[in-house]
Amino acid sequence: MTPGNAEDAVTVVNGNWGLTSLSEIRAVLLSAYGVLVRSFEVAPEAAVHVSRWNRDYPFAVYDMRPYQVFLSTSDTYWSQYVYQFSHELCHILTHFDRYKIHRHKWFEESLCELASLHVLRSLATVWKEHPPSGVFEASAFAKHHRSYAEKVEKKTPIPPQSDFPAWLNRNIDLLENNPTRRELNRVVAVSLLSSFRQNPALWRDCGWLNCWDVRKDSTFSQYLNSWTDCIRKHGPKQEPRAPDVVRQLFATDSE
Amino acid sequence: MSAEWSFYGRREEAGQFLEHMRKGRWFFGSIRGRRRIGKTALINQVLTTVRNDDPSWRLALLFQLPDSSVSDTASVFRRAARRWNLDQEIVGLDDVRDLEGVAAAIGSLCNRGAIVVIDEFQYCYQGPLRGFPSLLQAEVDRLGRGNTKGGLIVVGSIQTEMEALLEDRRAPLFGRTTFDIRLGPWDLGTIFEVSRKHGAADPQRRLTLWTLFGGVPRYWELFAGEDGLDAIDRWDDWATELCNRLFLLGNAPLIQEGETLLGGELRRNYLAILHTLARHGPCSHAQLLDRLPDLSSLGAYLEVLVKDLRLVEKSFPVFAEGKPRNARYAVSDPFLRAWLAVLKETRQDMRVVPGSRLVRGLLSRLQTLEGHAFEVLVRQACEESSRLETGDFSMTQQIHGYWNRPRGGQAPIEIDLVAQDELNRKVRFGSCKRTARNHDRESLERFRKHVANFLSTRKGNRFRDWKHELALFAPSFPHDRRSRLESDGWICRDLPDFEEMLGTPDERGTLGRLVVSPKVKGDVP
Repeated sequence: MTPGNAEDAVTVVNGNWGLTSLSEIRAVLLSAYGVLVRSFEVAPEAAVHVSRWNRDYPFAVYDMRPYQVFLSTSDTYWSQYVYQFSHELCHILTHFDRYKIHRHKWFEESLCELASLHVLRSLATVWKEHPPSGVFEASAFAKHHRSYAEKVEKKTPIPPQSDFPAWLNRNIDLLENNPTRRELNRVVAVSLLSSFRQNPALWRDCGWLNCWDVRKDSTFSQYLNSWTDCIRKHGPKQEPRAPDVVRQLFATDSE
Repeated sequence: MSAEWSFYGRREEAGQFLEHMRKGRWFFGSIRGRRRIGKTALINQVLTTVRNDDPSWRLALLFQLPDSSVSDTASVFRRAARRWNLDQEIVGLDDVRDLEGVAAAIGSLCNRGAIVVIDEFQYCYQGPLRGFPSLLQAEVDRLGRGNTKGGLIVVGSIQTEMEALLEDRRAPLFGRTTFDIRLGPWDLGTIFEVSRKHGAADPQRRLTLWTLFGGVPRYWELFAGEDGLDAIDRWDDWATELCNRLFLLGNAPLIQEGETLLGGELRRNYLAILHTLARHGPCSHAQLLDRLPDLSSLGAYLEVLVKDLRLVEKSFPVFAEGKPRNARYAVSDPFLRAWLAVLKETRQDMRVVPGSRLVRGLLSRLQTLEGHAFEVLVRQACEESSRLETGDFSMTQQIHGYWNRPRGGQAPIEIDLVAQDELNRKVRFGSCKRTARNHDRESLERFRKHVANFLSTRKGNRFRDWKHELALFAPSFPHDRRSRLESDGWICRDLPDFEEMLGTPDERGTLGRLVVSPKVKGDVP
């Protein structure tokens, strides 16, 4: 069931969130939700319940509706909320629990890292001009979203465009064996960032990930082809573009 | 002028408190911590935060028990109910004249979903209010059986008395609390944040402030409220002015604080021990006996100071396994230590000693105390950064110092800090100095010798095959000095390093403006 409106879309579950009100957290998460849902042009198929836990990483639970997301942040570290929640929401919007374990999961993980950076950069502008109500001094805080994203990007050394195919060759086994190698996921995310910032419509194509049987794709190139085919078959009339952008980055030919 | 004062630290405790309040179920909690530690500020901040979620919620009452009679207590309660606009919620408020009436009114408020906070609850330990806990017990039990959404919180500052009221098996309220929050001093991350925002980012000044205040929020707030201190260039002038304004001059806000903390009831012998420990730093039993030759039954006095009054802490060197011969005693509260070692004497001297000599004496005593305080600070910083996994050394055991006089007339061994990382078989030995220049050739040589002697003892022998690190600590290392020392293989760590490990990131949203609730006190006209 798609939530009727954004207000019902996100619920913050009581827990030790530090010194902040649940309504403030919800307002922050809703503003991140708004950016990503607008980008994907589709809302999650169920509401998202967000809880706090004490581990050092966030996660979204498979096969639960409403969706259950656990964040590992607290207090008023708004950028951290945005970063973590956007990542998990991107999993939800890319149908993460249709195919849970497969060799191309690393790409979904990388895309979710990209979603975090995209939302942070978007909110740096949105909060400045239209601060969410209920978040104290949100407008003054807006600049921190950008600096948070920049810090992550700076910590991620990316190879020159021409070296990317070789980079992927070197790392694809690592990624296929461990899809959450964050330092590698971030290299992919940061490399795709400018394309997605220039053309936010690319996110729409991402909403078709995992909508085919991804386990049948034995190579990453096949996976990208299947993605294109899936959008052509089930998606809007516009020609799919995101798979091509990824293909160009890694110089993987259509098979 | 430094930034506007805000609510700092306490995120974990506030979160725990808020989580209970949001559950919408009856609770009976306690909040304990020394005077000035910020118990009321925490409550106010939490109530403000709850109101953010539900602006229409207003059912809260905070009142402070007077150290006075039953009728005064009832009167304070009536006034508080009016100040908090709850007079309409209590039937027959004007008739509340005794403890039964107060307990019943509290029960009725909680039954309607109110949060009632009783401050200075330790006054119920003895005196005219000692029957109050039994009356509250009846209300707490009744409310616990129903579907009440409200809560009762008792707040107190004297640990031993609060424990007797809530944890003694014979106490009426024993075993009834649904949460207990114990507020300790601020962690160092918070202290770095506060000192940065309020004009004391300089490492030497940070050390001075920490020596004087420890992590007690109210003292830091008073410091932050003093205009113009950050414009004073030299440390000597700044420290003198700081002490004058906060502790020494006639209108200084903390002029009576030391005496108040001591309660004015400690007998001469206890005070003599506290004075000696504060002045000389940590002392063994034998050292105390040397310094206080006229005192008989030192052991019994120490026992009371450590166990009952908790004004003194007893520590052991690494691997001592509780052998009393090796124990050292120190004043546990940093403010009290500073009061006894530096400020009290200066205040007494003010009557007769000329100004310039007075200042010299003050600064000299303060610098000595800072040496001891710095060692404590470094230990705390190492432990906090290890716990948060932000430091450069992961400890597998609590950090200790080592001191011993080996038998057979060998030289005594004294190492400020011994930190162990059992998993990686690493041990870090540390030497702490109040200024980096005191890590001179002679002192480095001495430090090496102490470590070598330690490793040759039976206890140190277990580290022989481990990786050894020799670390030097100072409030700040000038760049060239650090480079020289590091090129000789020493590890150098200073307060800016610890700030980087422990400091709170800038990207934190601002808390909403704190609505300070009226605190109705017991001084009834």
